[in-house]
Amino acid sequence: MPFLLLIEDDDAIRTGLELGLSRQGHRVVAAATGEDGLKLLKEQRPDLIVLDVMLPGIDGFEVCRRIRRTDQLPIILLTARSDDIDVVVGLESGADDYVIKPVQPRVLDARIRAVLRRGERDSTDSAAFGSIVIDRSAMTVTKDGQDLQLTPTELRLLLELSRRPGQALSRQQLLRLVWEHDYLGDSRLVDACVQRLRAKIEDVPSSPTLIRTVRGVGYRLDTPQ
Amino acid sequence: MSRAHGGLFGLLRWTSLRLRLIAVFALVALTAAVSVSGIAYWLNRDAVLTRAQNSALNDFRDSLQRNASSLPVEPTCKSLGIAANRIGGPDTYQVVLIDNSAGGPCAERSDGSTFSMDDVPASLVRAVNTKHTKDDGRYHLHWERISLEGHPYLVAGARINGDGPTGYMLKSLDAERKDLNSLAWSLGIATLLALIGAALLAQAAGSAVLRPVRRLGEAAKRLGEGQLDTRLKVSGTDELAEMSRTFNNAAEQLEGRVEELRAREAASRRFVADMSHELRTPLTAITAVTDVLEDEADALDPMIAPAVRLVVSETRRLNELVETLMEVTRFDAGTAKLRVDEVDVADMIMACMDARAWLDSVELDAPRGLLATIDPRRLDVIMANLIGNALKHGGSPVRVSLRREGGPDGEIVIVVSDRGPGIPEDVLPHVFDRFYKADASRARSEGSGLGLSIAMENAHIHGGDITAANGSEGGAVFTLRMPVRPPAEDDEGGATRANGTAGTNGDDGKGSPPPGGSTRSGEGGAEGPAGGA
Repeated sequence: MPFLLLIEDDDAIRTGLELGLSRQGHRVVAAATGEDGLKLLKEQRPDLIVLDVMLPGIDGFEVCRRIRRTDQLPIILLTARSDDIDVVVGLESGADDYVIKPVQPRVLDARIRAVLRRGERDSTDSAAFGSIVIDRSAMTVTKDGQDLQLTPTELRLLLELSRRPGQALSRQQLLRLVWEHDYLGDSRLVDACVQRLRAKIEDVPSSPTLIRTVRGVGYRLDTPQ
Repeated sequence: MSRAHGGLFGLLRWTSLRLRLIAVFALVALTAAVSVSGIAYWLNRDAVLTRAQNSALNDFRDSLQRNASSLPVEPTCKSLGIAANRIGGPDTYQVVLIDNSAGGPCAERSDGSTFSMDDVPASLVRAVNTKHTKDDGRYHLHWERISLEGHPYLVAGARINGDGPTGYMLKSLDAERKDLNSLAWSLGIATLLALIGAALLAQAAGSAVLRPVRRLGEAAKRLGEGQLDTRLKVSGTDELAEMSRTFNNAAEQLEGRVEELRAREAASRRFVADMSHELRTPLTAITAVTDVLEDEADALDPMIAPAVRLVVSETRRLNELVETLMEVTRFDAGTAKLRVDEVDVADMIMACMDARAWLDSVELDAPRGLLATIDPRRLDVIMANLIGNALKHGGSPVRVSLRREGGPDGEIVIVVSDRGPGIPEDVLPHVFDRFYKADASRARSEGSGLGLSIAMENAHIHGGDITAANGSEGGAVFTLRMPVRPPAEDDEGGATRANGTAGTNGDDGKGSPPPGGSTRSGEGGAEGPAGGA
């Protein structure tokens, strides 16, 4: 049973989502502010966080950033605004996915399960790309022998790219493979995640040698020469 | 004359102000010059002629008297001839002396003269031969001006010594005429110069007046084109400056008024946007529990279950309406952005129909591999609205065809046609209007009335267009045209361009579409105007 932390300031929405998500088979603990949420996170170790963007005190983006400093657990943003700067900022601050209010619990549930699946092991081999070594059995990535802290989404993205080295994958393909979104997936998710992944694995993130952009198509993982 | 003037002004009124001004100036100059010249000419003419005439007549009289005294009492024709030569001459005037008294009628002329009595008007002869009773029955000297073969002459006659011979003189006035002619020419040239001067003056005055007028005209035109900050420079205190000042005031007031209206419109738009935004919070809370209610509805009291289902379905409807409303406010506010990606258009259409379970009722003719850089979500909205509308009003089979026109950088053309009754001609121009319903009496229906208008907005934001028409075999035909590549799209990878809109990602498309194939995106368009199928 997945254990979720819900951070949402509006009482009605919090109660409603708690009800709906519990109904979908999740164990839910809820917080009304970002501060409370961060405190609960330390005490309870949830599997995933559902985070409202508009919070009193420290807002959702800041909460997201603070969690990311120490933790790679999946975060799904709950945003009331689809326009749009919110989504970009949210993805840049490290969120794995986002849903827009009002959201049906089953849709949110599908997203939660998809995110959680990204951390699951699917094969047992390993691969090396330059100084990067991907150990699929341990689900770890090392750079020059040092462990890299990747979120499940970043890890899954790297795994999907490394499964087809040298082959370009379109954003829509990656959205299906990693995020399990349908054909209307938001390609900004891919771009934001690639940026974060580059920041972690590339020597110089602004001139990537591993994850290359293929103009008009998408991204490709190369073995450096 | 006045009628001629009226006609002239009538003509000029239709031409430019400048021309009118020139004409008036010229007319004034002409009148002044002609009257001055005329008066000068006539005065001069009179003076010149009188002087020439007087000197000739005095000379003639003196000469006549001087020579008459040397004539015998009954002169012969010969002596008359000698006398005539003495009196006149080729340098002065020609003379004829007549005597009917003694030696029979004889008429002697001076040498080299062609002057004869035939040239003397009968009236003059009569006057000369008349005794003036008031003056003791003497004869007087009489004169007349005549014209012989086109040349002006002075002719005069007098009797010598009472009943003696009669002398006539003929003096050419050609020299005087020449003088007068050259005077007339000078005056004519002066008049012409005055006219030209007047025209130039009128032109200058016209420019001085018309330049500000033209500036005003241009400013008014700019103002009309929407440049409300247009102002004129006011210089001086004349009527034109006053006019500029009035214009500036008017423009200022107009600008203020437009700003006020804009602010009010922006406020009302913001209100709609804020309102629909505010509606989301309670809707989110309600929506969060609708699934719970729906799942439990079967287990509820049969009296309560329909109520619960109604709440659930209407909540979803409300969600869709708010979503559509927010989409519209984004288009109105201009904040709707493209979030483009390169996709296979045929795959997109397939997926759109698949998500709504329309594959069985739509014939698709779309070659795969046709790639376009578009916003997938927006194309989905367009297709869902067009196909949904066709299914609702035209009925199946609906045909959807896809092709590319104009090469790799051309446009994609998607045609959606149905076999329904088509769209009435009077409705056709309004099918993309918001909330337009072909049948005004039609009660509340499932759609929002915004679907086709939103489809159109979505096409426009791509730089494309949708047209509605009736097919040759009946049925409505909607044609979507969109450029393969949106204009000015050059960022890296082409996918991170904009912040998108309704964020329907993954919620409805994959979830179970409600019965009837109406999903959130498709819903809006289902309210078409195709006229109550």
